[in-house]
Amino acid sequence: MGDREVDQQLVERAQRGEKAAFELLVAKYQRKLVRLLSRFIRDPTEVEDVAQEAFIKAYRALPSFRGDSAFYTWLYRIGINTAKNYLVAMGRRAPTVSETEGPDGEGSEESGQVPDYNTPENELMSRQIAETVNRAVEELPEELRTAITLRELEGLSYEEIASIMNCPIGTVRSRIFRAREAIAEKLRPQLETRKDRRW
Amino acid sequence: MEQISALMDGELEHDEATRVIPAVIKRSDLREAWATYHLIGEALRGQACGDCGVAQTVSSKLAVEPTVLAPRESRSTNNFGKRWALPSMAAAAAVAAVTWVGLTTQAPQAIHELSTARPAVPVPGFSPEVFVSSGPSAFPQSASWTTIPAPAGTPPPSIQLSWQEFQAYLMAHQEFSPSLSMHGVAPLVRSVSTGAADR
Amino acid sequence: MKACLAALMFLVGVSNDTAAAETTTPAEGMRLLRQMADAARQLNYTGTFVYRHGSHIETSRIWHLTDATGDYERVEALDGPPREVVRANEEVTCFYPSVKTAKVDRWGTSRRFPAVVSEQLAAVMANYTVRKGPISRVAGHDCQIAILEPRDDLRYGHVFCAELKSGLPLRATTISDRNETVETFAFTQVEIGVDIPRHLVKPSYDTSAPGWKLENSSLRSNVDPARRWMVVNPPAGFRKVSELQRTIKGKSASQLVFSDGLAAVSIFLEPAVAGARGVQELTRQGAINIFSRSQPSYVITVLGEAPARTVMQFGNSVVLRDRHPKSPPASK
Repeated sequence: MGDREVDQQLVERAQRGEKAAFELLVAKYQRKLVRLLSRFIRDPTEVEDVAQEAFIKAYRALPSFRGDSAFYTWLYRIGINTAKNYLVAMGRRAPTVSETEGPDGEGSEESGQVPDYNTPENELMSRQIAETVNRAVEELPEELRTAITLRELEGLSYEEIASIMNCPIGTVRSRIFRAREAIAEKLRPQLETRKDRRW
Repeated sequence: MEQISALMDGELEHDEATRVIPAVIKRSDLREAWATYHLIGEALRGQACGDCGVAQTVSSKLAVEPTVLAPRESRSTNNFGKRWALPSMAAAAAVAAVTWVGLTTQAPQAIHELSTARPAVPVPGFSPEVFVSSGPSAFPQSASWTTIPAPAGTPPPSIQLSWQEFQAYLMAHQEFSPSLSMHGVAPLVRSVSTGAADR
Repeated sequence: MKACLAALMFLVGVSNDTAAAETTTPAEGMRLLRQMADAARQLNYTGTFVYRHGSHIETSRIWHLTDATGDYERVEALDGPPREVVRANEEVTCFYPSVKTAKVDRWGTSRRFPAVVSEQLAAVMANYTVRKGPISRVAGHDCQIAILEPRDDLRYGHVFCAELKSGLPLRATTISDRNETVETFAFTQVEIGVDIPRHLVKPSYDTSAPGWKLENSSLRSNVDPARRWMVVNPPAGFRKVSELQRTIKGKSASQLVFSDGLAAVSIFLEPAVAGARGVQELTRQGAINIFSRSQPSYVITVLGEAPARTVMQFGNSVVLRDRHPKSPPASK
């Protein structure tokens, strides 16, 4: 089942009253939405507020989502509109993005430059997470490291990874899982210390 | 857990995914894995805002939201058919008429293939509303070559794709076009399409 | 007026074809597509076809021959200045006799091996819904309509009509999300399964004759590790299928190729010419959209048989991968 169809299934379940299904979508897309909004709104705290509001708006609008576009495309439009309304309400210039647009790339105008979307507190945590994850990846056995890298950085399918690593698809699936689990194990204590503000 | 890892990669068979999704929604340990694995992927790509704090807040706000219920609708056979609606006879007839006028009269204004695209993000010196063909004087042989110049009053764009450049890029690209294996060499004719030989 | 009506009837015919279509099972859709791909690769055929994009029509003649030594094709343009494309296995040459120029491109690996086709078809099924339409007629042959409806607006829709017995696609129409025909390839006359004499798939021009210029458009080398490009947000359903370094327009460029199984998008990255400004340009020919974006140090050119929004999304989400502490570890 492709990524988009997984989203669609989650949406349909949320539409049937399972709020937890929507929370999975929030967990999946929160950072992407925050990165998008931080292109229009400078202050990271405000970005978070607008992102939360956008998610709640999306949840309320769920009955009108009919799967005509991908879930993120739809969320993107809601996010942009929420940001626009927010900026107008604050008496600032609204972003010049057409609502009829689909989500464009996340790359900002200059290559490699990502706007700062972290509050100082988050910035620290973000760096810690990146460090933990990168260290955990370096410590992985070669075949796990290669598998997770090809998947997450190169975006390759299991089939493509299998042909590169010259192993069955089932092995790829298990290696990627084992890599994620090994990294997650290193990451969990760090996340747990934040108890209330985990995701 | 391994199934969640495969699910978020879009690599689970449809039946297996259909079984796994309800479990992920219900079980908190699986939801945690889902969230952590997504965080890991983004951290690897250098995109994590450690703790955006969004999901947690959304979750507590969701708890007090009235549950949404969308009207049930059968979407098993044709999820996306509505948007890609089939052409009505009238619309098809209109297209035919326009096409034919363009062909028979060779009216200069009728032979421009106008792009309806909008740029994702407007850029300085570039108006999405200006969709003017460069006109027959610039490309006498290439009726359908549409360029989108900068609006009057701004400096002309410094990227100007010539036919030769277009051809060079297209030729470098053709090899990878899967449609080649679908309908033979015919698409190769694009790279020697009229006009190409004249400049 | 009569001609007007004829054109009208033709398109109304197409609309009827699609209206009666029913969703097939994935297995059946896959079989239909595989049959078309196999036929186009394995059969010998010759015929005349039109390539129409916008209001522009070109007629060409094609010869295709497959034998024990490989796969050969020749396409000769019948309108306008003479032009010809000849493919002998992995070598593709375009001839422009009016300027005595030939351009040669050597393909890296065969993208047309059955295994590759299988992989493509799986991706096609994930990104398009395949529906079987009614029987129609093209160039005097009965053919089966197959509709590939995109699952989102990031790709075009396709309507094929595959010859009933052999499966050879006789007409291929690309349709935008506004239901407009973007381009069409259609045979007006075709002979399938006939003997093709070998000389008919050989070039008509001798490039060793005086005055001819032979341009090698592709000299590929390994990817420069110092210049790794990454697409942070590729349009949904597109996977990277290739990354290479090649010579284009006499200069070295990086090329990344993404595909959704049916459409491919190439991203070309070249060092910027001094003095270039940050501007964008969008251009199209038929189903091909080209988007160029200039940055202080690089020019990004994205080209593919995909809607403008798709090529622009690629163009706007390609970044140079650095080794910043927050960025991912170097891939193997």
